[in-house]
Amino acid sequence: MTTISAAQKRNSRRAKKKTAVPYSKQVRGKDYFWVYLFLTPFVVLYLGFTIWPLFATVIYSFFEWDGIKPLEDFVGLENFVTIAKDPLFWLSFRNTLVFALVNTAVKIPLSLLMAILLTRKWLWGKRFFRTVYFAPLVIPVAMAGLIFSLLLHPANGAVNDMLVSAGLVAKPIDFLGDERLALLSLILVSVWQIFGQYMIYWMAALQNVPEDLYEAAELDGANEWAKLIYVTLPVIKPVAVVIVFLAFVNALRVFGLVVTMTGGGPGFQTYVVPYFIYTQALVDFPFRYGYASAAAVLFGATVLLAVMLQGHFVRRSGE
Amino acid sequence: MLQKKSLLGLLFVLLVTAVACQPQTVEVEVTRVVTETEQVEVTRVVTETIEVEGEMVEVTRVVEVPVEVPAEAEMEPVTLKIMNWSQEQADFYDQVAVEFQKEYPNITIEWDTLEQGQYRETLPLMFQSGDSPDIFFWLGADRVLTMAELLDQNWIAPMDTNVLPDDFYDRWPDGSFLEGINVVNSLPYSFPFNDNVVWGPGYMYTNKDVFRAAGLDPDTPPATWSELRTVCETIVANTDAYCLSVPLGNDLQRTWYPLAGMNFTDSFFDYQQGRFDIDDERQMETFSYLQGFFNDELVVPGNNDKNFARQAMANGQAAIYFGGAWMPGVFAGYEVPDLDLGVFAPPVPDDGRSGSLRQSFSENKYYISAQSDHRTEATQFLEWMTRPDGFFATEYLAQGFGTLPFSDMEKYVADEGMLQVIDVAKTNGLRVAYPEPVVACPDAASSSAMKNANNLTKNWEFVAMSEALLNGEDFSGTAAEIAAAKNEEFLNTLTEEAAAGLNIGVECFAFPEWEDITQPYDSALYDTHQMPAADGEG
Repeated sequence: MTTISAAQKRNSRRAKKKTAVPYSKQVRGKDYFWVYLFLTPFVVLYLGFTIWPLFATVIYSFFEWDGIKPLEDFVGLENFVTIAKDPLFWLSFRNTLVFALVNTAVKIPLSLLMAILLTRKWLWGKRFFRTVYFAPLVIPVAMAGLIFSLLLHPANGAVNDMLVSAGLVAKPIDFLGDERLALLSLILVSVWQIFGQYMIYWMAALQNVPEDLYEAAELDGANEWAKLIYVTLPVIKPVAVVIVFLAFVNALRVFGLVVTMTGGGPGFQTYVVPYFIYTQALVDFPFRYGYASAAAVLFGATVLLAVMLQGHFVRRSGE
Repeated sequence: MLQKKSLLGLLFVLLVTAVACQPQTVEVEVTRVVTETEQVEVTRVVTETIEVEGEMVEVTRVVEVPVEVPAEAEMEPVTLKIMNWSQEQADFYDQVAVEFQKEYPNITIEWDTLEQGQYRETLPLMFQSGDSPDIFFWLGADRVLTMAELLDQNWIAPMDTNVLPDDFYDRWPDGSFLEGINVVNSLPYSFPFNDNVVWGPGYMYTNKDVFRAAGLDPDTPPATWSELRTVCETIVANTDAYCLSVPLGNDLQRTWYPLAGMNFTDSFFDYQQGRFDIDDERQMETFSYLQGFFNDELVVPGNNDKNFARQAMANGQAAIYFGGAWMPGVFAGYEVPDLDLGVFAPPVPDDGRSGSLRQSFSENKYYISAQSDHRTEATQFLEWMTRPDGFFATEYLAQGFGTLPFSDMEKYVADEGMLQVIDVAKTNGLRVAYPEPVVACPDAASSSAMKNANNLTKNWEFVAMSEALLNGEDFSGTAAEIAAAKNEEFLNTLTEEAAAGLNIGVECFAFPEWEDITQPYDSALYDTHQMPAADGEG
């Protein structure tokens, strides 16, 4: 049975190939010229600003280089060996993963919940709430970081003033100085700033759910919860995978909030890989551009592996 | 006949030259066009010693001094780009540019000044893109070896000695120019900009109003560690203010240096034993003392940086901030006109001072870029800038921006705060000359041992101490780990370098003959200092 089915599929594909006009025949003569002409700017920019930096980073990682002198001190894998033994890199690595996982775990369900609420027909003031939740996204990250540094400050911060005044805590909490709270504070500020973006993604996904499916579910007696579980989520699942993937990858790039809110502190407790790379390459003199490149390559490769594994499992779950 | 004509011609040329070279009293305008080489007069402050009734008396007066200005036709217009990180002095640099151009009409100065952090990020990128300024300000990771680091990066070029006056080096105290520190093959690459007696960290700044509000005498500062502790308890008990404002992270150095320096050393390297010393019991004693203030909530809470910490003190949120000699100028830049600032020596341990701050050859700060096409003009500017009685020196000191070793500070400093700083430094002798490994072993300038050890984790001691201070943790284990890791890397690198042919060893960095760290290292001891064995196995 399986053999016949496979043979049928092959025949079907061959038949399609025979009948379909190949692209090379659809595009003729001068059309080629225009196609390549319009493709050229993108290709050039893509090569210059995406492929070349990636390639160059890999090259630099094999050199002891400060970013300024001629690139001539080839050290082979030495930078990678040193990185592998650098406890600060692995602390940064761990913090980055924790940040990305917790950040994603908080913002994805929260933004989905808000999106579902804001797509309810009965809700009044949807536009207002959409604007309110989306607004933090337009604030520059550095500005958001500075604002929250002040709000959360144990001596002058409004948050601590409120907590103490309300009698919820006896003395101010050092949100950014306490090693148990600093990374969590960064995660929550990041969620506050970014979750409006994911809410918009979810709203777009939810609007693609056919209305007649809900009507059919209602006829079957489904309540709101059942409609969410048995109609909404299965329909938006393919988009959801992409949204979660984007959320995780974007969270791995955390940088601006660390710079403005904690500077990697207290101690090294909020060091993340992008901040580690930045300090090695551009802050602490003498600069270690080659070393920072090795850290970037190692981190990039690990993330790529994680993403490929994630994709593999997503495909398997789909099948 | 021909000879007569030649003689007449020669006479005419001599006559014209003599007329042109006569001193003229003219107002120098930036826009004036000088068509021939001539002398103009510029205002200078001059100190002379004259005999009055048999006694030699020093007199300072303003005179018009003739200065030769080359004809504009001979000069290419040049724009010199200069960069540093003293934003609060930006207006002063604008004046400097105008004054310099009066004497060098063909040279235009563009002086950019950025915030320190921004500057440290921007300048390397400028070098990377080949767009560096002609003259720049820099302090390396190892301040003494900044020149060696910059040479290694190929950032710097030597000054053009052809345009330096013969007495150029006499502007500084003897011993200010050293091979490996600011000179290479007899060519100067930089010069001590700030002096190394007054300039540096180690001062205790107080907000006198907070002292008064606590019922304390603002002019009687705490002199010992116990007194500081008592004062702090009184301030916190009697006012809404905290006592200490302590910046953290790498900025912790501002508080650490004066406290550690009075107990042992402000360096994380013990130059008596030649080892990294954060685990030394005296350093741990200083840490425990400081941690007591954090544990008892006598410090402004939070993981604050230096800017926040300074502002907190200036605004009366705290009573005391430890900082460098430059702080009077920084506080003046804040919009707190009523700040009643006190400047005092840091408190010493109860059983007396047992350490010192490092007075080293670390103030070489201005360099000419190797990428500059105007090395001669850049040298001319640096020569002009370092004239002992010139505009730059007199105004820099008068406006209280800092101290200068090439000028008479006490004569020109007008700022009350800076005068107090000078007084504190000279009265208390906070800093003493530490031994310099580069002087003992010239190959130390080529060694990466210190750099490699410090590169293990940048600013390791300060960042780790900050974490322990904020979270009330025991620091001894971390201190031992840091010292062990750094010393291992340090010794391993020395061994490798010695094997590679450098005449280097731990002896270059260990000066056991320096018995009393509160006293300067006697330079005569360099002659008897034990050197590494020639085969590098010392």
